[in-house]
Amino acid sequence: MRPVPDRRLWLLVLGFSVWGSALGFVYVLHSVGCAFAWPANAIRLGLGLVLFVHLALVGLLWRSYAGTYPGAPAVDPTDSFLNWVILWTLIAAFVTIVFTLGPTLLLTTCT
Amino acid sequence: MLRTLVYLGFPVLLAGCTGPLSTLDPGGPAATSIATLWWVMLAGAAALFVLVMTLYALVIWRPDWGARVSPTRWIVLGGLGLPAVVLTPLVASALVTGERLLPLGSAEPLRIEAEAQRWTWTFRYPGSGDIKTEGTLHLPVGVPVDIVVTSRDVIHAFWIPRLAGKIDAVPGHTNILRIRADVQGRYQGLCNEFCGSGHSGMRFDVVAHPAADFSTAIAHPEAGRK
Repeated sequence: MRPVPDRRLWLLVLGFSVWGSALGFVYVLHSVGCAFAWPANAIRLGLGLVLFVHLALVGLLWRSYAGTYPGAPAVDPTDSFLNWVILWTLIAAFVTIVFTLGPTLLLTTCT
Repeated sequence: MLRTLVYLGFPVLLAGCTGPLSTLDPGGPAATSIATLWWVMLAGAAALFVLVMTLYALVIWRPDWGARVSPTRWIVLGGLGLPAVVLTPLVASALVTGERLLPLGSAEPLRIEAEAQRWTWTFRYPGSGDIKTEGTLHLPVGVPVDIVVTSRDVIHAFWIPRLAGKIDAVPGHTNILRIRADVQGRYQGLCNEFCGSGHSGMRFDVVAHPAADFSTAIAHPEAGRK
């Protein structure tokens, strides 16, 4: 079993880095929109776009890593395990974006 | 020994459920919603704890049963399914409660301005002339009031635990907190954002008067302090 290159280990945080980016953009957009009294629908539209872009990004990564799912022939066991973990962290990040940030589209924007 | 600790510790824990700063002894609808949410969260946390401990006990006492479940199933059902079943209702409950606490509605309620300055609170009553009180907030019982909160120096936070959640007092910015005191009497409020060496003493009194007596009370605030 050969060692895993350092740069590949960084991929483990890929999914939740995208989630962190989505959280930051949602927070900033919501705060700025309310501070400058933007219309509620404009804020919702912006939040929806931010979520869509981040979900699409995670979705694309998910799709690309699904192609290297364990079980594919001629794959090193360590690589196979790493790909498996990366794939599931991407799936978890996708669900987390929907679960934690999705409700912002339905709730009252500003008071 | 353990029994003694439980017997001694339980009353100490229960003592935290009352008092002038207890969130579990609400005096208005906003605080009631928050207290209810707290109990719902406690029930959810207890349910999750019991489920995890049950699984833990099962694999200790009946290892054959645990070995029959595949690792993937343990991860998916135990790590994703179990928290999702418990956390989803808790999140939904928290979101609904949060919406209920917002100052929404067409009716324009009474407004009182609260201004923080290290380490005192000043309250102004715009609808009642140029009246202001230092360190004591007067409220009418049973009437929704919008507290318009701001600060003159650093960030503070306005909090009356028995009436509502806290809200930040930010220099150059106003935040609105809607509260209603349903029970006549005295409450206590405090600054809930560390603001310097005098932070721990930055408290204020809250006096809820019968609605009919409110105008008189703020016109003669000294009488309300007695």
